[in-house]
Amino acid sequence: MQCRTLLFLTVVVLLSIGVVMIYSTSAVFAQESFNDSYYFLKRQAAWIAIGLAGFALAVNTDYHSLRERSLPLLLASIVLLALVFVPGIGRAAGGASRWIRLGTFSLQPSEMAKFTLVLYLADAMARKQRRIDRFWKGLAPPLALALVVLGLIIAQPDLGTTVLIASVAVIMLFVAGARLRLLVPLALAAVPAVYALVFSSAYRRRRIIAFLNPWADPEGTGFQIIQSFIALGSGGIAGLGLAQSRQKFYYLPAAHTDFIFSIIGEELGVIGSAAIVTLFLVLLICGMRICRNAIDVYGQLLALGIVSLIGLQTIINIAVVTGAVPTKGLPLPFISFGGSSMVFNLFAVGVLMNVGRHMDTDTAAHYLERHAGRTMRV
Amino acid sequence: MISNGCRFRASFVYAFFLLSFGLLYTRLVTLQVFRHEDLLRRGLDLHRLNLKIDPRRGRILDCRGRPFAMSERVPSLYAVPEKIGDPAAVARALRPYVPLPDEELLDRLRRRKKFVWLARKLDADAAAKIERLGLEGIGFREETRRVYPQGGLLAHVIGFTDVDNKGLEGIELSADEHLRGQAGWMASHRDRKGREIMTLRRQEVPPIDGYDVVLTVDSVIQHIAESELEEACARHNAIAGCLIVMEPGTGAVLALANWPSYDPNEPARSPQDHRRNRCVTDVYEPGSTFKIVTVGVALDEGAVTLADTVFCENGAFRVGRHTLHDVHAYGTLTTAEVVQKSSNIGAVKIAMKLGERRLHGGIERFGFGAPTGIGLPGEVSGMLHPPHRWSGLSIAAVPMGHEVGVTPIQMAAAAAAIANGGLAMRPYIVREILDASGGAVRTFLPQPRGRVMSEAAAAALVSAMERVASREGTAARAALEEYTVAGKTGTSQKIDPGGRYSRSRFIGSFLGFAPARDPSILVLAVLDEPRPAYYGGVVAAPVFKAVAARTLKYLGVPPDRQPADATALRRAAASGG
Repeated sequence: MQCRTLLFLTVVVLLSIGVVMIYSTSAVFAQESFNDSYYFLKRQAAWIAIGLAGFALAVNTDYHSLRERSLPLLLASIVLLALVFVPGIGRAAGGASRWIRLGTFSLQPSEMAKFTLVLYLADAMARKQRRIDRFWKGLAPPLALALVVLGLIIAQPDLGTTVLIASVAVIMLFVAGARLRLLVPLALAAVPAVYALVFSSAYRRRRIIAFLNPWADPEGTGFQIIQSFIALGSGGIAGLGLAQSRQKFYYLPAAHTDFIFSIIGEELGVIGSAAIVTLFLVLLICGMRICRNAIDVYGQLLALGIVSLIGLQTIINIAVVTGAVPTKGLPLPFISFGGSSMVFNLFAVGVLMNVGRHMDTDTAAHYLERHAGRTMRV
Repeated sequence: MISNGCRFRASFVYAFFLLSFGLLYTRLVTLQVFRHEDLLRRGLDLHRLNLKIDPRRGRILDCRGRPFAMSERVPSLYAVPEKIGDPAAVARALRPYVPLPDEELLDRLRRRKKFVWLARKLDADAAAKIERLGLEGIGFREETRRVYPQGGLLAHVIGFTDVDNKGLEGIELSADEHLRGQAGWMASHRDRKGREIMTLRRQEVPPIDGYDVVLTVDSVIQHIAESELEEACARHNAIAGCLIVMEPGTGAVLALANWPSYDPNEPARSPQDHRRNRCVTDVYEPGSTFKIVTVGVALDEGAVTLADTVFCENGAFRVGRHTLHDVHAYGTLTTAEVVQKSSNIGAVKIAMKLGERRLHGGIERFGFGAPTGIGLPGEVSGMLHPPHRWSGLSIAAVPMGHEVGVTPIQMAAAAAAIANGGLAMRPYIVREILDASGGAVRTFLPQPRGRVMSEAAAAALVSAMERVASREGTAARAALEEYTVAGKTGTSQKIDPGGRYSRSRFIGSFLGFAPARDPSILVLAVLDEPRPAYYGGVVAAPVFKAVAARTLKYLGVPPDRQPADATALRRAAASGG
């Protein structure tokens, strides 16, 4: 089977599972809060429809046309990131300003920033291949923009997304060929910064403590992770059965968003949860193959960035719900409830498939011919 | 294309991802397979909800199936205080619906408990309003509430229950094991707010509803009895009164009334004194009604015949240092006339012919000194001293109903034995126990207790008692127009705190049955401290008359006597025809 077909089918299966599980996990809460058990399902379906439109657009648009738009898009994201702090436009919830109000819907600019930074870094790194060894002329400008984005997101505050974006940026710089002599000090410099961030905020400190020993305070800081353990553990091998979750009855907070995977494990058992991990693994393998076979450095870096973004977010989300890393508020791609995340992930997969489209057809040769002068050194 | 070095770097990143996925699988297997049992158990501790399901308490019905007591399902309000964020606000919102003082309500909402009742057995209306408030941490549980649709009717027999539907008094107490049923249970799951998750209900053992208890009492007759008793008590300024209607042939109680009464729907609103079932718990000196026992024993033992005469000392008879008086002075009376005129001296002289031992034995046979076993809580034995504790004066007191203490039900049962040709029936009030489908679980049949006198002796005594309700008897006011009546009046002095007989506090009573030779009903009416009139023949006999007349008519008993003018008419018609 063609890599792209497999990739597409994987995403479709993940979306389908997501829709079913959104309903299963949110129906009770939706019925009680909005008097409509389909409340979240309907919204998610709408977002998937918008996302699939974006996906179709991306698949059929030559990804190179994104190159000259990547910087303006990133700057637009930075503006939107700044707007969440403006009263009347931004919407705060749970102590964090993460959304921009758009009628009844909300836009999460950090989701857009994630994707546009990947677009921009792929373009910048591809352009600066020759100067990549030099700090000021090569690494500094993209690094500066990345730091602005990271700074705005950490200010929301959203440590999870910050860590995710920083990691993806480092991966891209690393694979683009940035010297370790430059990267390693940078990474080391980040360590005290992260340390300071974690221990400057009481709730992050509690999350770390809860991660280390959740049972020390099962009713307080350890509550969510323990409820997640109970959900997953109750599932066993075959699960309690679809819609049979008990933990979704208000025991597990964020059951239809960040912790949806726990409920999947409870209802469908290790068979279901491992199957989902496997679907993401297939997505990763397909993505990496597209990355390897992309016709140019830009395509390779773009594919790598998109695969890293989705892959790393998946890994962090599942690591959080299984208690392998401290709690971060990151949704599971294609499955968790959330509009912005869904739309940009689907668009990103569309771009990824467009990168793959050029590698195995005549279009690739045709393209190389046309743009011979601009291709990178091989 | 990117350099080989960078390809290596890409592979390095790829490997990192693959390794991470490997770790995710390991983590999932650890949690979901190896720690499955432990985590499942911890989950069950959170979710398990084992609910007790209350059975519906059985009804108490009259002999025609009309309910005296029944149960209805109603909501009760509880709180889970640890889930309440702002107890003061919740208390403010609930104040209009919860019948608790403000401080008590707030205190309950602040208790560090998982469950507290706020209001038991609310109206459905109030519950709906509270539901609409949408408060966190409060909920409803369905309970059954006991209701007494006939209010105070037969209250002393029915009794009442506590808030947990446990019988406290009356039939509610004595038949509790039949009425209460068996609780069911349900294994289910609860959400974090403590509410049951209906879709996850696993197992359910339905409760077995309580049995219905069918009484021998007829609520129509009971109503007649209570209204006539209340009216008489009011008219004669009595402080209390008892009235029993029995079926002499079976011992079945058709009505059992006490005054003052109370509403079992709200027992706490009445003083305890009003809730006592005096018919079985209170002892009084029966006075002259007891002479039928004395004469009955004498007739049965052959000590006297109905026609035997006794000299009544013209109204004053000295026994030891005590002088016995009659209300009217009599010379020589027959045994029948002693009963008719209620001569104390005559009764005592007849008893003296019997002797203490035979008299005492006879009284015991009539059932005095022991509970009748009617099956109502609190029944007492009364007071009957054994002969060796009798003083020299006792033989002059006991025959006329002094120095003995009886309960109204004992007196009624003893008289019923006479009415029933000498065969005593155990008085009973519970006729049947029915299951939910109406099938009889147990049926209580009339139970002969034993023969207290020969049929001939009983017949003789009845004929003497028939003369009581006549112009020459003590209770002309008891006579019925269409039925023959056999009866006996009683007037006794109450004992003052000092132990002496009171000169102002009396008990006036009347017992009678009709039709005299084949009685359908027996009525005993006892008025406590009527004033100023206190003679049984004056205060109690009219109660008998009213109750008996209405009851016999209601039961459709064929008249055995023509009203005077009707007889004349018929005679005229016969001769003319």
